[in-house]
Amino acid sequence: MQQRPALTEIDINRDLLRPILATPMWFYGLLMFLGIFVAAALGAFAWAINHGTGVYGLNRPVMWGFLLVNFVFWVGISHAGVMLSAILRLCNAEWRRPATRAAEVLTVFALGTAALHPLFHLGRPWRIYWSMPPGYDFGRGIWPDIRSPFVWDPTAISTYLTSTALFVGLLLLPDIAVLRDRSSGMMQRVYSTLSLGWRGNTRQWKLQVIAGFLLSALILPVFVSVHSIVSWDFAVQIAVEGWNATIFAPYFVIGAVHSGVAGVISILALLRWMFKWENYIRDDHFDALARLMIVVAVGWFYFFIIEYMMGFYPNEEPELSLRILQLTQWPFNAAFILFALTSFFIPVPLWLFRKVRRNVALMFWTTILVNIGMWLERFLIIIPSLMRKQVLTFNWGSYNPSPIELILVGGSFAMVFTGVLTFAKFFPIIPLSDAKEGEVMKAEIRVGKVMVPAAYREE
Amino acid sequence: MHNGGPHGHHVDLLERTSAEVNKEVLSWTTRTSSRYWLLVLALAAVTVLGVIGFVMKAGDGGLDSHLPWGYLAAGMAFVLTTSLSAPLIAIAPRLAKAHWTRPISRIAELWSVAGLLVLVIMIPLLVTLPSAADRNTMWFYNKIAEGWPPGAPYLYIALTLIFLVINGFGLLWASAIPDFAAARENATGWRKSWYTRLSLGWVGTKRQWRALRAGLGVLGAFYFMFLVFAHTVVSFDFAQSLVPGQRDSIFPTWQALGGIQSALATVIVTSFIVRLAGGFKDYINVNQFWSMAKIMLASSLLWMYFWWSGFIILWYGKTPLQQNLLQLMWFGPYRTIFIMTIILSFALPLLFLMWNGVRKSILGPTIVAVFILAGAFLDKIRIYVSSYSIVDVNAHALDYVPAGVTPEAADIMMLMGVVSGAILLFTLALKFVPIINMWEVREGMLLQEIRPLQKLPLKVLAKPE
Repeated sequence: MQQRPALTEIDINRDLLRPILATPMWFYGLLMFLGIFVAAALGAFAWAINHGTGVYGLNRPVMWGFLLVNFVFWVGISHAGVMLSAILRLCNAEWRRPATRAAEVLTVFALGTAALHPLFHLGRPWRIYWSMPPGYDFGRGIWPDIRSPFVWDPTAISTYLTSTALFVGLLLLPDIAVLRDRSSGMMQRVYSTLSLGWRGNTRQWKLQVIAGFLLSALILPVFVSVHSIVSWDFAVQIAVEGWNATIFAPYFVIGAVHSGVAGVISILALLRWMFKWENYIRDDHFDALARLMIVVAVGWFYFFIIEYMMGFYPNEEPELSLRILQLTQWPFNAAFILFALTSFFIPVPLWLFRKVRRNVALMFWTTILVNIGMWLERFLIIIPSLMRKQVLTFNWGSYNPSPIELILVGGSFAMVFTGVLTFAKFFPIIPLSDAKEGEVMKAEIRVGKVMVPAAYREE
Repeated sequence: MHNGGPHGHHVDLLERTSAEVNKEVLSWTTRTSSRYWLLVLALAAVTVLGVIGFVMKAGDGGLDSHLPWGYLAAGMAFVLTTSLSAPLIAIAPRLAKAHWTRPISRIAELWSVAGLLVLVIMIPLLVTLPSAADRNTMWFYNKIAEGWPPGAPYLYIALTLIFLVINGFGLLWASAIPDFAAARENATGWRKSWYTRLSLGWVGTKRQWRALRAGLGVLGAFYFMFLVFAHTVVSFDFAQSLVPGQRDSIFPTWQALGGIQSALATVIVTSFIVRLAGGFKDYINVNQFWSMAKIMLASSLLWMYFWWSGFIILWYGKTPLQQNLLQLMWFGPYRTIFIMTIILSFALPLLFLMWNGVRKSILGPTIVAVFILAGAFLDKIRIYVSSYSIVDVNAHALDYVPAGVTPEAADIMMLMGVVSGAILLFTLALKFVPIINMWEVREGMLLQEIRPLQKLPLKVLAKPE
């Protein structure tokens, strides 16, 4: 953490509130551009509702396609929020400060978008009512099967979404109060209401810090449970080759952290470029995040190797044929090579070099590569397994995504990015209070002739 | 230095000069009391008892079958998960530039000497391990081509463990070079000649320091990878692949994670003893125990999560094979041991360590560490003894649940001998290698200060690039 320009509170307020108080014109242009994709996705969904799920490329035996691949992908991305914010907060890591809010916001929008995918997939979204508590038909003695991961799934995701939104809202309070004092008219009334009377007195800060730590600790089990449960959607099924693996839960969780932290790095690079926040999202932050990525990636790779080896270990024909399909047949062989290169073999060796870790453009593109790879990983888990579903299945088919599915998948990326940008228009995406605290806690220690960067540590 | 910190806590920094650190640590290393020799004698006696137990077992059960050796395999796995995993507690925080690990890093690294014991135990276990032909192993022996890979699994298990032990010794040596040099300046007789040889002409030039740091990084990273691989290999070859039809992909990763949990427990208990016996209360204080307790709580929670993730898949599947596996591993003859493991490795650590007051103490984490070590010991017995109880390891699936194997006198003697042998090696080594990493402690003194922030005295930690 060598290059740390001194920033006053005035500098911090001016720089970090600029996107809100003096929004540049290109910002609206970008939002409109993304809006086209969002509108296209909504149109595609309307088309699917009108024409039925026949417009998707699903067919026996592959009844889960791109939409569920994308669902798992976005749930995975959403793991970055807690990973960075809660864990690093609990660990008192100084370098977390500029990244936490972006990570939390990415969680909220990625998870919200993920939650839409089962609705897209169903094609009859109103039927979700029957899987929610008000729709349970207790009168006729029909109870939901609480042993089913399909009941655990909405419970976990809605709990995670609620708690993350609460987490974001709580930690936003001091920043909203700053905005309240700098805005006028209707926006001032809105910020006044949202700031919940925040004045920044000692008691409020104390409560906020305690609540932040408590929520950080409480949200962690939820974070782990969400992707574990998503993994059990697959892993508890003994009839589908490649899915019934005991490692799936932690493998999914660490994979989610891998793609989620990569997503946060990509977003931070974009924010730095768009808003010229070089003094806030510094090279040393990318360096620290890249080091974290190396650890996560290597851990994930170990799980991947074990999971894959276990496919061959029993030496049983159905599973072997699935693995051969994944590795040797078009288009899965190409997808597999691309997946291995982009998720691990290209980025991780590059991150070993300090120059790469401190190069924002390279970090942006390598993390984009990671997420291409992680999307393909979910594709390779879901689709080939369903194609070789059972030994005695009466037809083995393939799967080709329809244009409607492609539009929905593309639209989902636009939805998440639109959500993050819209948030950045109304709230500081780098926490003002954290940035100011970071300046206060900053110090240096002289060792011989050298000044070594340091920080005060509250225990 | 003790100052009133925030929330009534104390902020501790070691107040010593470099010369005082050297003097205190080295004088304890070179001074041997009669109590020390008494301890060495007692440990040696129990270790010899273990050897006698082995001879009894070999004479009784022979070396032709794997069946009698489940308890010895459990003993080896226990040393792997505790002693050989302990260096991780020096490696990982060093890479993360954490200051709290400095006074205890040598304690963690010194446990790698127990690797010698693992290499000795490995020999009879390899001799009695069933051939990989006609059964599933992680080496896929004969699966791709007849006789390939040659020497599987024996050669690869041996190579894995040998490389791990060599790497562990290399790491210990590299990290001790500056301290050997300091010891060289003050020692006489045979010690001086050995310290001179081992310090490799260290005078502390810039180039030497750079090489040392790079070496420690590389050796640490390799040790971490070898250790995870060793956990994978041992848990596969001495447990999972002996149970026909068992296909538990989380099992090796769970064992590796258990290694982190047990490593912390080992280092905490050892630090507690060294702190009291060596008079190092100013060096090893509540900060070390607090930091390790936090990671130990997280690893205990993860340990349970990994176990649950594996269990739920087997329980949910309910195929005859999965039900037999559940019976063999958890709910059949080893049910009591399993319940004890869950209590000791998860429930009690959670109940104790969830309170910051317990975490931020010296006795609290130590008591929990003892629970965890006991839990790990029982867990290894459950896993390895049950796996070694399968007669027909070449069967396609586990179609019956064998009866539990009660330990004989020879088994108990061997287990005691293994644990005692590991402690003996550590005890002998700590009178040659300085038990406190002097150069890291001295460096830590330069990089930490106490300064007031507003009116509060707080610790300031520097982290050089």
